[in-house]
Amino acid sequence: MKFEKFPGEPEDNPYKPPESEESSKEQEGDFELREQMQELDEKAQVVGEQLENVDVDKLDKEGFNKVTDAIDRVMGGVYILAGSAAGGFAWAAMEEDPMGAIQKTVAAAVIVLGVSVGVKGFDQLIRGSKSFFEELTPEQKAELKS
Amino acid sequence: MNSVKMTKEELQSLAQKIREGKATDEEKILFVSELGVELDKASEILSKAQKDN
Repeated sequence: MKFEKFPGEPEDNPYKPPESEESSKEQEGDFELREQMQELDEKAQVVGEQLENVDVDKLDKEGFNKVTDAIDRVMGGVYILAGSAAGGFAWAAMEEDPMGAIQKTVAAAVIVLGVSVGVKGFDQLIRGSKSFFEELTPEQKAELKS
Repeated sequence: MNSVKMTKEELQSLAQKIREGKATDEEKILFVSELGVELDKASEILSKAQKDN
């Protein structure tokens, strides 16, 4: 169906000028960032499942430190990204709903990045981390604090 | 983009830059890719531990 044009409305131009190089670069960056985020979420899903199923005692000291350091770096980065407002809110809500609080922080971090991607993998990473840290012996917990 | 191993401080400083809206797309990508490297590292160790179970 073809609609009549309003007076003064420009004619359709089939020969649109090419998008500016700047705008094209921006789109390329957005696309790559979204792809990277999706990939990161998939990795978070895998690590979350592994954390849930691993026997902590099977990790040697070096492996244990590397795993906890990696989780610390990822979640630490996410917290900074979410910002003090979201982080503060998350900590305030931590006692009532710890899982929800962390999930909201991850969601806030993704908004800061400016990409709209699902973060189901991160939900799994949070569940897995919780289960992993709950399994630690008092000695292992003490070592983490030292 | 190839990821380079960043120190914890560099990673946090980059997160802060993104937070403040001062980072380029390339820096955002680097940050996300760096988090991916951390997860890969954890996954490799956990996978080995699971196989040893």
